Amino acid sequence: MISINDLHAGYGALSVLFGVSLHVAEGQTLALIGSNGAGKTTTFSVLTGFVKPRSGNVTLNGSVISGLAPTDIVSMGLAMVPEGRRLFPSLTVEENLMIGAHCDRKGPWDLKRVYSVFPALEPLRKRPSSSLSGGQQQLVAIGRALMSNPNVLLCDELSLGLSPAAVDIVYSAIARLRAEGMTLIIVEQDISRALASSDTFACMRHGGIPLSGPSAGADRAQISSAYFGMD
Amino acid sequence: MRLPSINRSFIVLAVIVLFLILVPILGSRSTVNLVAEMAAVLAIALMWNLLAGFGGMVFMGFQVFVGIGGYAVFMAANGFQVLPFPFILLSAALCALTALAIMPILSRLQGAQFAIASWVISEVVRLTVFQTSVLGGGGGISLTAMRSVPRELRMYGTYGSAALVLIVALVVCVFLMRSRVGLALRAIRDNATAAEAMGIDLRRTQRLVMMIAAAVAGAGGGAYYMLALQIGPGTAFSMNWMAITLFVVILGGIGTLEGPIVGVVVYFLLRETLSDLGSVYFILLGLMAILVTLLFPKGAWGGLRQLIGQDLLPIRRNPSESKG
Amino acid sequence: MEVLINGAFIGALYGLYGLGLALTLGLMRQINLAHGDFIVFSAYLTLQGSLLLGVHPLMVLPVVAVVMFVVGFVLQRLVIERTLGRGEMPPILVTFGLSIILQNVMLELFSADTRNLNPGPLGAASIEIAGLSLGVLPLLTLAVSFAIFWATSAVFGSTKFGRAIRATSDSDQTAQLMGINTSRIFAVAMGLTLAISAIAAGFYGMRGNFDPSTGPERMLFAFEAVILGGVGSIWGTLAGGILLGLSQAAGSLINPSYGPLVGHLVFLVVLLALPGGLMSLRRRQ
Repeated sequence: MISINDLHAGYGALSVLFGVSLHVAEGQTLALIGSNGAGKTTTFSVLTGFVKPRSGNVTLNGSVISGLAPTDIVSMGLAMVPEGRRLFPSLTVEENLMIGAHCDRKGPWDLKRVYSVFPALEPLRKRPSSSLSGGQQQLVAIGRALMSNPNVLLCDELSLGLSPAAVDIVYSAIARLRAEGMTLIIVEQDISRALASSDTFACMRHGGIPLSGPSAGADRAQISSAYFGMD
Repeated sequence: MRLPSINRSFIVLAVIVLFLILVPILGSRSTVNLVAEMAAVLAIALMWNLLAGFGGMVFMGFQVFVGIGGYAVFMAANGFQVLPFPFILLSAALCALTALAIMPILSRLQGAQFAIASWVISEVVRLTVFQTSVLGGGGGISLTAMRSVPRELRMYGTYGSAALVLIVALVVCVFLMRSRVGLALRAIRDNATAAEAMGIDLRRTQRLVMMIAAAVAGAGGGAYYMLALQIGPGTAFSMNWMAITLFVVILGGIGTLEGPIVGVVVYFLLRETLSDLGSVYFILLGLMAILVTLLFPKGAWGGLRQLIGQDLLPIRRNPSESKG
Repeated sequence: MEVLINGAFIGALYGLYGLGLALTLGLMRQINLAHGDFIVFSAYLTLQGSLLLGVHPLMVLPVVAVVMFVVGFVLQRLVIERTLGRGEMPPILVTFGLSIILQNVMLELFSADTRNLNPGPLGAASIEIAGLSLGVLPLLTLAVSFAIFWATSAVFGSTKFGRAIRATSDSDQTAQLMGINTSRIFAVAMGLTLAISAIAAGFYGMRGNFDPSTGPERMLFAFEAVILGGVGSIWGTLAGGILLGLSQAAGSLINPSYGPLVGHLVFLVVLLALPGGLMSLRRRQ
């Protein structure tokens, strides 16, 4: 479904990614883990088109998307739930969802389906998005991304700043999407949570991927040493 | 050989002072007047650059200080019928006070809003002067105190005043920017919130720099209008001052000390050769300002600096001499 | 009384000038210092068109609005777009340069003479309402202003384009993540800004004089209307414009030449006492 091939990228004189390669098959979920500064955010920025790769590329369903404008990447079927949710405060809940459908990509997701998957949102639809709790906002952000009918959904730090109860609700929504066959890449600080919610994982460090493999039965000691660089 | 940066600044300042001393000795009457005018314009541009280029305060009503500075000299000298030259100190004081008075309005504004509010303030002063008959109303006033002054004294006195204001402007820029205030100012421009979090008093720093810039620009305005001998609200508070200032600063290189010096030379060269073209000349100036901003944001000095390889008036200490 | 009513009508025009400016200020966090010069330029276009075709200025106005939309769109794409994301200064410098260019181009093309648009019989026509004799032209002006404000607010509130504009003004980066082409939104907004201002310019030209140097003052009035009303509020801008118009009218009652001065002073006082503008009063209640 989505492949990252030997990606090098950076900002100005600063290089951040040094040959990152990843592949996520259709219906699979990849958990991207790693400490701050490991290159997760830059990887997402290349995927969404805000950073152009120096070399290497990203393909979605076989066509190259790296280097395209963010707008075009959305209409090719890649959507993101950004870190910190980033809802539009001047828009209501429903308007936030509708803006997700801005590029008119055809598919199964519409308002009705989002409300049926996240029933908690329907009674809030006319509310300003800024009046919602963090957990509710995160559901809106996920619903908003789904409205573009993506082939691949990126989720950046879903649990950041949420109460444990809200995190449970958000991740049960992710479980539901996985069950429906959505392809996902998630970035998550909580490694147990990340492994429990994914099929495969990749651990980033210094702009590369020292360790990856299936999430089920992953060796925690191995992950720790890859994460912290204790070889 | 790389000199310690402060010594380099002293040498360059000394060269400029020497040049300013030589002009009246060697130059013709028209040269002296032209250099006097350049000095006043450059002092004003340096101060605007201090606010906008270093401090991020895009003060679009800077003509207010030019006008107040000019009127201060005229009113005081005419009132006492004495030599007008010392009254540029009065111009400076009055403009510093004006800056102090308007800071409560401006200090909480940023960017475009700061720019426009400062412009409106300048309009208020212009319209008020226009309505005030003591200040000559719309017709303006002549510097009658200058009538009894011998021609030579008039020329050299005016030149000296303008040159002195320029030297003060340069010294202020070099030392202010190398001081803690300058560091704070640049920190505020780069990231106001972070600067405040580090304990920099944003309002106090901005107020101080605003008062200094206003004072020197006011003195520059005073010197300029001594040369013109005639002042009116339409010209003294005109947006043309803003246009000239912007042109000098942008073309030379905004946010550097050398930039406006290069810019003022370029501006006067263009003016002396092309101003017969009338409005076409202004269209060219506007086009150049836009092109330089878009394509060469570092201005003419940015290009020259690459050739020379070092700052002539460094505002950052060399790492080796820095004590933090 | 009549002076004040006139002030309110003029204020509605200031509101229109400001509406466009508010749009670009909210979206791009920057203003176009040449805004007023484009207003004057539109007035000249209307004048030339109506003289050339021998028709009433109001007949030419829609065409001028369309032309100015295109001018705004192209200007944004070719020039202003390049200044965005580089800090507050470049847009200010570039649009100031544009202002100088426009003023001098108009001086070359149309001379420094003061001009106005001939409203024809419309100028003198008046109707009697509740014992007050009101000019048809001011009433028409007010009606057109309200119609444009109403249309803008409807487009903003309930269309896909309006939603995209509001999302972009909240965060243009997140808007891009939603597949919104923000550069196009900016360009359309700049086009609308100039088109709306062109209509205001046409009505202003039938009531007052203009010459190539009057642009900056128009820009200041427009900006004052926006700030007086409160940035980000469409109807606030209309209220701000009317407050400004009334202040100027009140000033000119004291002395005919005090109008703009009093307007500026009211603006500064409100800025000092009520930084959020008139609409922040309503929110507080």
